Amino acid sequence: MGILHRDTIIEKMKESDYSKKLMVTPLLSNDQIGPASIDIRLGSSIIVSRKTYMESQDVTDPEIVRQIEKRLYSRIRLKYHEKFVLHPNELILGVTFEYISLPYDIFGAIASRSSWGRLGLVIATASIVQPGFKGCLTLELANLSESPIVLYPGLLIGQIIFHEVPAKAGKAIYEGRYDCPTEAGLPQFFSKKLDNEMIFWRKGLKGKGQKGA
Amino acid sequence: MNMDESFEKAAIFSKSLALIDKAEERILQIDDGLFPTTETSEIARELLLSALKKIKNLDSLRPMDPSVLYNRLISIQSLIENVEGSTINHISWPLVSYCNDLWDSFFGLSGPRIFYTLTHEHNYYISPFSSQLATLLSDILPSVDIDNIIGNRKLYCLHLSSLEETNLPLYANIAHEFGHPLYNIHRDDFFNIWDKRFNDIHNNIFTLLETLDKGQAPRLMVRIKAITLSIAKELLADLFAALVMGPAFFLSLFEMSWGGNSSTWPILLSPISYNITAYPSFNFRLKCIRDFINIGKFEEDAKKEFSKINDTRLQKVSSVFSKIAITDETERFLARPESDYDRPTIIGVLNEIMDKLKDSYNLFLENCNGLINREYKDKLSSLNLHNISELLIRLENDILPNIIPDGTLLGNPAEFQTILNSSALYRLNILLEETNHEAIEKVSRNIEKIERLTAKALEVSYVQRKFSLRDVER
Repeated sequence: MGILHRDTIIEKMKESDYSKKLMVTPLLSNDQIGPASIDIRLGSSIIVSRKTYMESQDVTDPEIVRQIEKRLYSRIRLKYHEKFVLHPNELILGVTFEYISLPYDIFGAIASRSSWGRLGLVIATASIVQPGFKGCLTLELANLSESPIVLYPGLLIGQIIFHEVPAKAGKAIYEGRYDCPTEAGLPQFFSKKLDNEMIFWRKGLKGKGQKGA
Repeated sequence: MNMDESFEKAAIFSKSLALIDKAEERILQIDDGLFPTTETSEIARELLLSALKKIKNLDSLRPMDPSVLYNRLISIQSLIENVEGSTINHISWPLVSYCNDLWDSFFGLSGPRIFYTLTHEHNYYISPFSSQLATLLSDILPSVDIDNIIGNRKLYCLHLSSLEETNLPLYANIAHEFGHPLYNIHRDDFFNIWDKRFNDIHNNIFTLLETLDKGQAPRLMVRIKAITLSIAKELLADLFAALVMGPAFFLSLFEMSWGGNSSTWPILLSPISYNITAYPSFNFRLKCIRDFINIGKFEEDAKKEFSKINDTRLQKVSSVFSKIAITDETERFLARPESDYDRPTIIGVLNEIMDKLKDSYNLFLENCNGLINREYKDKLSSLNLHNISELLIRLENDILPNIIPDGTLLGNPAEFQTILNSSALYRLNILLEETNHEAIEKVSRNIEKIERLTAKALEVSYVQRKFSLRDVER
């Protein structure tokens, strides 16, 4: 499993078969393609957290998770050419300007660009993009510095590195919970698959006549 | 309770002054960082603040009953709401940027301006913001002051359906709304066409009215002329939208007709003939557009172009037009309110000459089509079917319909109309393809996805185009 270099990235992007094609669209400049990565830009949709209403974020409780979605976050749409100030210790959810489509045999990893990192901007904690993913990526942007950082939609803020994974030809691996997202997404802790597990860790095996685990 | 008249007047006057302060405060508190375009802050807000400042100077007010001042101030609140509703939290910035480009290309930078607000109505509409303000001020300020406030600033307000990005099927209707200022700009030309084309039919109607009640005929004729003109304006706006947006407007109009009666010509009567509004039936509107932009030829060409796509589903997308049946059922005028004494006579006469009316409207549109093509030939839609097919392929593969491949890694950003038409075709094809009730949820998810992808495609293609011009502009 190796990291794709520039030539392979370009080759995969020029593939005519959409099921095998690597897409990062739109690229505004060829310079976005580096020796072993593609630079990505900040999109216009962001989610900021509100500092009221919620006393905690207990994600094992479905009711609290619903409250988190309703009460903890506000969605903002930035205009291009208009700044957004990210204050020290503030976390926001951003989105990539680019739409990404990975074929079945490639997964991606998001990383900060070093220049921003040195300023204190960290852009990704959930950095893996599964093979077969289609959509815009949600970025967790945090300012770890002591001073505010000004951001504009369109700025190059991160990079995506691609790895080849062995997979059966034509079989899409990714069956994630995100259906071609184009905006910054809220955390999704509960899905049909995870409901039982979350409740187990919170409550143990209560119910059906059993005591807690 | 009986109040002394002078006391009552003083009380209303005090309330008015308080309302002026409140209105000013309300406007100043609006965060102009949220306005999608500068017209909201630089013209709309400025007009309102100048007007309130002038009203506040009591010496400048015309002699009037204080209740008139109070009523006008209440009405001005709705204009303030327009400014408050002009926010990017709900209005898509790329969409209004495209709209502004479209507006400027037709009306020029020195012509009337436009700003955008939200409406809770399902459909869009446009209002003449600066004219509405001038009308409201006309009873309370001398005309010289109104001229000083408004100056030559002509401002329209486009009311977009709330949560704009989820209203993809209505995007094409924006051009219909732009058709109304188009009429105002070329008022003399379009009015003369209408007058000429409806001369005979108006004479026929007058003769009919005279046989019914000679004394009332002139008065009724004024009301009927207001109806035929109102319908002509709507058809002109449709024609303009179809010429600018292409078949996407036809598909959008078709979708709007769902759930209603497509053969009814609704009229809303008013004691003031200027305020009478009337619409042609959806059937007639669709027929007119189908003929004037030659939907049949578009379908035929699309069929040929899409047959080159290596996907049987996409090859059939053009057949969506064949599924749109425009019925030939009997069409009828319907008028409200029922309490209007003239209602039976008006709809009776109009229903009697329905076929002749339709012929006159066709001639009217033919002349208007010629005029629009002469004036704006380079600015009208000229869709490239190959580009549409490229975007359809992308949509079918869950990819943004934003780029026309050109052999490079960047590609060409797709035009607004190309994105809109490919999405409208693809979207409506999915809606009409599945009639199985069990598939409703799946179709609904697909439609949501297409709308998401389209909204993002409009955004990034707009930014990409501007970005590619940056060196030229600098």
